[in-house]
Amino acid sequence: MKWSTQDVARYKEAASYVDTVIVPLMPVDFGEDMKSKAAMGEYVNLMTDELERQFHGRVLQLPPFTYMVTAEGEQAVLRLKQWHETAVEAGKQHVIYLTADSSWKKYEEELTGTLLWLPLLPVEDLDPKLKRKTISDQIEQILPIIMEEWKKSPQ
Amino acid sequence: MSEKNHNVSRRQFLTYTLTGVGGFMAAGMLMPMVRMAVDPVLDAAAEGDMNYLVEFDELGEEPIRRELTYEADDGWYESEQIETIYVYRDGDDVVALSAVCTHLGCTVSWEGSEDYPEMFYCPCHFGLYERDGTNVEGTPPTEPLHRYEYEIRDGAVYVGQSEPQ
Ligand code: FES
Repeated sequence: MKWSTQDVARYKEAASYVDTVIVPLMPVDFGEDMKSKAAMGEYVNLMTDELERQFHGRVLQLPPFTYMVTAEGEQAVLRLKQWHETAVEAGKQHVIYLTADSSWKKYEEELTGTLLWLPLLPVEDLDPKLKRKTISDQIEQILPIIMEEWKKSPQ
Repeated sequence: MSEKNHNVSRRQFLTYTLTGVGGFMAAGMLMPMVRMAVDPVLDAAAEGDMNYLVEFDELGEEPIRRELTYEADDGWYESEQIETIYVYRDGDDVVALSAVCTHLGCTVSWEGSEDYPEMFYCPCHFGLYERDGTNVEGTPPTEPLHRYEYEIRDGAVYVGQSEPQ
């Protein structure tokens, strides 16, 4: 379910069925890699939307977690932990982050929740059909990982 | 500050406030009218559209998965909508089912679980449906998968809206 008035109303009625929160991680930066950061954000957004479509009834898709790559450093990790804590307090069992930014990898141990690192594919210049196909193929790889995660604590 | 000045400014304040509230009320009255004017157009556009799905020749008895993409316009944004559909042949008839689970809307897959061959399986809360879309009792869904109206033109299958069966 999405972070929209319509879906949130639905979520409220079915909260116990929706045990998973998904959060796209979105880097913001000026400087050299500005464009690649934008590409990461775009790609992760597309992937998160598709994941939400597949698992609509069991996941709540939060708005992107945005962070300033160079300025924030560790601070972003702490903030993200706060998000996790809040979700857990609300009774959510699984918190999943989607990112194409490899700088999160070094914090993986430290992070609470599950980090799904998606290698960035340059989809922005593809024609819509091929773009769609690429996203579906990538999602096919992700679905089993999440279904495995769910098995750890079946409803 | 003189008494007079003070009064004037208070009156002004009241005037502004009233305009504010009045404005709000006017918006409240206008909204339904705009909706009434716009809605029929939107509905007509949605209902009339038939979208190409698949060649009739490609169909067999085994449900195959297809994705339908179309542009939806809610008045602000044009966004790409995607629908996943399972389609197969049943004699001369075509069965096109929406893959949206009727429980809470996850996407189901045909034979999505090894434990349940020949069935649609929902990974979210383990909902099950028969080949014709009938929900299996004892699993969360309480109604069958929705079915699309279809039409065949020049050997191709076109689908319209999906409806509860
Ligand atoms: S959404 Fe399919 S069983 Fe709940």
